Amino acid sequence: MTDEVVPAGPTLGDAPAARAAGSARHRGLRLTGWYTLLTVLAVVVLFPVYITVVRALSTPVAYSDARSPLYPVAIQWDVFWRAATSQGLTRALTLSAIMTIVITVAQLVTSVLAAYAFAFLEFPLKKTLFGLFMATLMLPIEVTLIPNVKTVTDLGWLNSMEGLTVPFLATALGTFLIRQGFVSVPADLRDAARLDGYGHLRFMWHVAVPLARPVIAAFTVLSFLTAWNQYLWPQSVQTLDDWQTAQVALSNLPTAEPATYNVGVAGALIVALPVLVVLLVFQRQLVRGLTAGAVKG
Amino acid sequence: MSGAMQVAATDEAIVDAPKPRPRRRRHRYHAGEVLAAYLCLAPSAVIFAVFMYFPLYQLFVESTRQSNSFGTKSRYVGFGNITDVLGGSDFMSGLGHTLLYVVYTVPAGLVLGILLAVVAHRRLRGIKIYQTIFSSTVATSVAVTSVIFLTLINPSTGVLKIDILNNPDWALFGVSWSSIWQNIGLSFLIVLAGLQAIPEELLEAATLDGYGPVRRFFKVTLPLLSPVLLFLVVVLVVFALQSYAQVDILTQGGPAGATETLVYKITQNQSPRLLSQGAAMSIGLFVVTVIITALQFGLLSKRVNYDR
Amino acid sequence: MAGVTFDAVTKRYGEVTAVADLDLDIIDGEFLVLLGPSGCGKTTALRMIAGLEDISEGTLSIGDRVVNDVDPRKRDVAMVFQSYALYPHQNVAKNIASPLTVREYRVDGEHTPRKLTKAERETRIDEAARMLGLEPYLKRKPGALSGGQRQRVALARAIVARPQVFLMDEPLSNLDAKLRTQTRAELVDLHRRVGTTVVYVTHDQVEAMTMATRIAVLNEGRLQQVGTAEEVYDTPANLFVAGFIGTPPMNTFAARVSDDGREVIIRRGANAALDPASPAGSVPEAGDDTDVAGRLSLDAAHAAAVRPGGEVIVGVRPEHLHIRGDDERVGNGIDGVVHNVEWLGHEAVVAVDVAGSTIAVRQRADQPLPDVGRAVTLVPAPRGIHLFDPETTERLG
Repeated sequence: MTDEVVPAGPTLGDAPAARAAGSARHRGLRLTGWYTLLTVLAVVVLFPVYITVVRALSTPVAYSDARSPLYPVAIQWDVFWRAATSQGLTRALTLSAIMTIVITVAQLVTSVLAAYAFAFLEFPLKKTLFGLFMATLMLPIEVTLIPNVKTVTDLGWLNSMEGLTVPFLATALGTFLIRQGFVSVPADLRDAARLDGYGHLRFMWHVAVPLARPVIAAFTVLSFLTAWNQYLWPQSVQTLDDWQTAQVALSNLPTAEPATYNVGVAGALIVALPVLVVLLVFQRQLVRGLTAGAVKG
Repeated sequence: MSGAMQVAATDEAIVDAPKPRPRRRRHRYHAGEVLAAYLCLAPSAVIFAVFMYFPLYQLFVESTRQSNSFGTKSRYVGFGNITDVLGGSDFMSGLGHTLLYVVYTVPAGLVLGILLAVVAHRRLRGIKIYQTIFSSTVATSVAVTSVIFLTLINPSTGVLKIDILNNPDWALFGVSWSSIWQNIGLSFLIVLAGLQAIPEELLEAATLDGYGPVRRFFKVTLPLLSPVLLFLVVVLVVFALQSYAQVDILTQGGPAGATETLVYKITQNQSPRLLSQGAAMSIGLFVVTVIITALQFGLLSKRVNYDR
Repeated sequence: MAGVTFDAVTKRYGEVTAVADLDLDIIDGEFLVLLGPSGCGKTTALRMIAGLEDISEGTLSIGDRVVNDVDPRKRDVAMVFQSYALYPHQNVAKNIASPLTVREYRVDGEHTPRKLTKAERETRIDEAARMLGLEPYLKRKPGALSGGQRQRVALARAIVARPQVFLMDEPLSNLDAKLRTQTRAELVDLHRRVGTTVVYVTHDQVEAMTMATRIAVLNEGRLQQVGTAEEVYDTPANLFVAGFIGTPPMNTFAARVSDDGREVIIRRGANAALDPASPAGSVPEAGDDTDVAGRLSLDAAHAAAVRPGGEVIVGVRPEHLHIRGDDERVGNGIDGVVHNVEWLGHEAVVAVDVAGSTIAVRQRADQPLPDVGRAVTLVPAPRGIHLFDPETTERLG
């Protein structure tokens, strides 16, 4: 979304003001109609989430006895607390959090470094290496899954933080995005910094990174979301329930006991919460990153 | 702004530097600089080599070998094995399901994205709230989405009680609903960014030319939006190609294998005995990915020209 | 403080030679302006002094030290960039301080360079800020400053380093006309106060003429002439310098020296006026001697420099031509027709058609202006005639 306070876009009823008589009423009608349309669409989009909240709050047996109404039945307000503190989910959430932080921080570091080399330094094979880096975008984990699981198994990294994170410590998307930010640093600024005696590290940290902050922020948000929402890989490198990340743990739900189904659903909502917060707080950065690379859970 | 548009904009900024100065490639490299560069690249390069390029090599090695029925020994059988697997009914059904998934999800994502973005691209009080609601599904993971969806249509306890996931003819279509809902946020954001990038003067000029709102949309807005829409299509296709978690959670590939997508098939062929087959299927997925990526690059370069 | 010496310095980018065999002694303490059109190599020369460009051939010294392979930060120079190159995310004080945070300095009397103490840094920053009137803005970011203020910050950043040489790359080109005039005077004043060598790059001859101790004129990577403003204006070394300096530019004619060697003959029918920026090869063929547009007599010095009957290029500045009055003695002159008159308040520029090309004549505004379409004879001032060799374009006499 854009920065300006007034959202961009055509005003409603932007017909020439000359159509004076009766146009105020006409405009009012159009406004009402437009808000109705917006609200209906919003309700449709949010309906599945609303029902999930209803389901989480309702006592399972009472809810199905009431023939699944649109409102909660026999509300248990403490369900979220119970879900959050249940052994499995607490451990899974902690695991997810550590994995996400490790991956995000590492991707930031490796991407900034690589982007710096490609943007500011001259070295043999630069074009070839850049091509090889970018080509990894064609090798998603879905393609390399089988050999990578084998590698991780051979390394003894099943059911470990290394297994969860190491294959994702670098990403070409980050290199690409941050390099875009770096190359827009004016050449004069680089020259001025050289005369000021800045070495590579100092220039990177004090000039390049601050100036590329918007794109770095966008990438960070993107990296965080992607890591948190991962499913295939974490599922593939765990054989013990203790090493299920929050997303993977959700797959147990369909087979959960009906009596505690509400706790499971509440858990799903809790798992969605961190990214929802990120979405609300970093909306602008997220949009920038998404439209640049696109995220997937 | 879409990513490619960003790319185009920054490139332009470099080209239009305030002062054209002979800043050509230096032919002389500086030892310190070269060392610094390789040190900077090393961490990423190691990860890429070990977890992306080496696996690609391994895929070819594994797929040209055939295990005995115990999975204990394998022998070289040649590249023919890859084509055998890729031409086989197992891979074909996986590819078929995956392509069907593309057909189910991509047009729907496109239409919903345009609909919501056009409706929410207005100067209205409180429009930000609506925009946030429409974009909210973007942050939801496939796993969470699957749980939400399952809760909604659960045949016995759901509000909608739709018994579609147990019907072999309709199960894949049912699974695709969850993706369609999940893609709403991304589609909306991308189209909205595209709409916001259209200069208002163009629409005003069209209005002065006597275009009504509908005509204006089809004759001005949509053509200007087309690069963004192409970008969205590529993204949605890639998502569909990689669909796995929703299948794993909602149907485990069933009923009777009716929802086994390509990635799901790959995960089912990891045991030593089936490794060769799984590796060949991975290569198949890789080839499809390369084709889509090539297509995307083609579109991107086209768009750069379009922008200028 | 130190001078800068270019000794046969060449800079190549692949096939392109940006600076060719440059020999130039920049004297310690002078304000030297590198002047030339865009692409002439002046910025490359400056950036070689800074160490931002490698030197392909030759030797570059700052003071007595050869600096070809010395890192920019160790050259003890400071540079003001055209774009000012301020760090947008740091406030003015930090921007001014930036050369002081990393580089080492030889503080008065001490032998080995060292990093400055906090107190020393602050003294220098305060001093520079005071000198340039930046005290009220120290806490602001560059984005919140006007163009003129940013320019001062860039200057302050150069000053705090107390370098041996200041390098300035078109530092005034982003200012509006009024501010430029004002800042020009301030820069000259600043140079007078600090006395440090300044190497200043510009394509604006007014800046060069008003500020320079000496001007070095460059074209296509080659040094054309070095000298004071008066020298390059009054005795341009070649056709390029003659045409590049002065507005409107010097009028030039292809002509023939008379057989007795005492006058030059300008013929009608030849496209006489030359594009001074174009190379010598474009000197047009002179027409037939029978159709003469004018004759100009030569003084002794010129007469000695030319070959009787040979071809020559004649140059006369607009202010060294006047329209012959009715009461004047008939003598040497060039015939033409008034084509246009531009009245500028303090002066007027009269465009006269001579032999199919336009000659500019500058005259005082209080003199009667000729009517458009009138036939006139242009008379050069006795010492206003310049002669150039049509082959080499070098000055004759």
